[in-house]
Amino acid sequence: MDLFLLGIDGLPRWMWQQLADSGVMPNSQKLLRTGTLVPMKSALPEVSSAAWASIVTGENSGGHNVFGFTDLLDGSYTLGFTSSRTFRAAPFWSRPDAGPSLILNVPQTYPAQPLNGMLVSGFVALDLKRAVYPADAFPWLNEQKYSVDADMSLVEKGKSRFVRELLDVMRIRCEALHHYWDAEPWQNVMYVFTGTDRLNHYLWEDFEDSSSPHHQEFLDFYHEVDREIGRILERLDDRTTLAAVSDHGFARQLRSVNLNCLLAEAGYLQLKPSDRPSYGDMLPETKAFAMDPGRIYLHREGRYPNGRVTDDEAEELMQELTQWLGSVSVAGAPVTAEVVRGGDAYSGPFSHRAPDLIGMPAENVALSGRLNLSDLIEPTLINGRHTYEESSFFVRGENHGEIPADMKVENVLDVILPAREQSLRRAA
Amino acid sequence: MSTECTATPLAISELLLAGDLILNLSSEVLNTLPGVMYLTEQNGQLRCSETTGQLVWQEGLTTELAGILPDHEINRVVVVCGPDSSVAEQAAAALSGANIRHLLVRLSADCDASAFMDEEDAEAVSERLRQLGYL
Repeated sequence: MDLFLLGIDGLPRWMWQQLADSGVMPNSQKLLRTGTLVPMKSALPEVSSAAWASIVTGENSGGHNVFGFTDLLDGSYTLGFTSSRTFRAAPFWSRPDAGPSLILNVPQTYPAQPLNGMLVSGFVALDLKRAVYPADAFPWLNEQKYSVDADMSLVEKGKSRFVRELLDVMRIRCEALHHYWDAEPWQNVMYVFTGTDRLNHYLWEDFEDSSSPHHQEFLDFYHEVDREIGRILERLDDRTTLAAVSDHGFARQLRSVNLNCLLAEAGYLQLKPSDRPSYGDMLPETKAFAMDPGRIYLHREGRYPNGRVTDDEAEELMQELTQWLGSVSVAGAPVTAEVVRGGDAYSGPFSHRAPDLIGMPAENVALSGRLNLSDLIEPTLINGRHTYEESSFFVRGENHGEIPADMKVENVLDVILPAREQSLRRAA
Repeated sequence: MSTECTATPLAISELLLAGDLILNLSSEVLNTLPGVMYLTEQNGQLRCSETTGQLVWQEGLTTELAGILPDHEINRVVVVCGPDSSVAEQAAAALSGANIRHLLVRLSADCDASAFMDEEDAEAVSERLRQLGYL
C-alpha cells in the first residue's frame, strides 16, 4: 500500500496532542512520536463539505466547486444540497494514476461515483444502496447493519444514549474497513472517523467541564477512537505513507447567530412575508443575503433573477458590509472576528460562484445562514463549533513532500502524494 | 504535455493564459481574455484569429496546425469540447502525437439541478443538516 489517509473529523491539533499526552489516546501518543503533527487551516468557511473536498482534490472551493452543504442553482433562487456530483475537480482516487483505492466514510462523496476500487460514502449519505460502489458490496454491509449516519436525534434522549449510538456506528464501520482491507491489495486506503465531530458538537461543554457527568464519556469515546487507530497502525508497515487529518478545529459555542436576521434588521435583506421563507422571497431591494455558515452574497444583477446590485456598486457595498459586520454585536459581544473577501480566498475556474464575503465567527459564536428570521440567537443543543484554525495534519513516512509553513486543507495532497501532484501540475 | 480539466464557458477565462490558441470543438461561446487566439477556418485554410470561432475536428488538421504555429506566438493549444465529446480525445491524441503542447478542457454545465442531491432526498438532507445546525 502506498498511502493510508486517516480522517478524524473535527479533531483539533491541540486536543489530539493533549489527549495523547494525557494517556487518553495511548496509540496516538506512540504514533505522534513517529512523524510530524502541525496545525492546519480549514476551508473558508470552515464547513466539512468544503474542507473534505479540498483535502481529497487538492483544490480550494474555487477549484472543486463545493462552498458549503447548500448552494443556489446558477441563475436561480432554488436551494440545492451539494453532493458528489457538485465536485468539478477529481478526488485523488479518481485520477488515472491512482491505483486501486478503498475509500470509506469520506464526507461529501454521496451518491457513490464509480472508481477503481470500492467506496462507501460518508455524511450526508441517505440510502446505503446509493452510498456503495460497486453495488455487490451492498449485501454484506447491509447484513452488518452498516450505518451511513448516526442517529443524531438520540441526543434528545440523553447524551449517554447518543454516545452509545456513536460507538455502535463506529465499530461497525471499522469492521467494514478491516473486512474490505483484507479483500484486495489496495494502493490507497482512506477512512474517516466522523463520530468525533458529532461528539464535539453536542458534548464540548462536557469536555471543558471536568465535573460534568458526561466528561468521562467524552474521553472514553476518544479512547475507543484511539483503540481503532491502534488496530490500523498494527497493519501498516514503514513503506506506507500514513497521514492523519481533520477538516477543521473545534471550540466552545455559546450562541448561534443568524446572519440573515442581522442583515434584515440593517435593511440589507428584504423578504416578502411568508410562513416558510425561501430565497425566492427576496425582494429586488435586497442588497445581500447569507448562506450557511458565514457566506455572504451580494444580490448581484446578472447573477440572480431579481438582483439589482451592479458591478459598479459592489465594491462600495462590500466595504460597507465589511465595516458593519466588524462592528455589529449581539448579546454585548462581537459577531465576527474577521471578514474575508471571496476574491482573496478562492482561486480556480469556479471562483465566480463564490460568496462575495465570508464572515469568520467571533469567539464563542457560530454563524448561521437560515432564512427563517424568527430568532436572532437560535435555540440549539449544540455547544461546540468549528474553527478555521487548528485542524490536524500528521504525516509519517519517507516519501512525503515538504509541509508548508502555512498548511491548509488544499495542501494535503501536495504533501502526501508529492510525485503525483507534481506531475499533475507540470502537465497543467 | 497534456492534461484535462473542467470549466464552464464563463469560467474558462480563469484557465486561459495569453499565448493560448483555442481549438473550440464545442458550440458554446467562451469567455475569453486579451492575448488569446482562436483557431478558425477561412476559405478552407486554418487561421489563428483574435475573433472567436469554432471548428469541426478532421483528421489531418494537426499537420496543418503544426505548419502555421511557428508564424504566431502560441505557447499552448487549448482544446475545448462538450462534456461527453469523444472527438476531443482524438484531437488531444493527435496533438500529443505531433508534440504540440496542449490542454483539454471539457465544458461542464453551470451548477444546475443535476449537480445537487436528488429532489426527493431534499427533506431528509435538510433534517440531517438541521441537526448539525446548518439549516
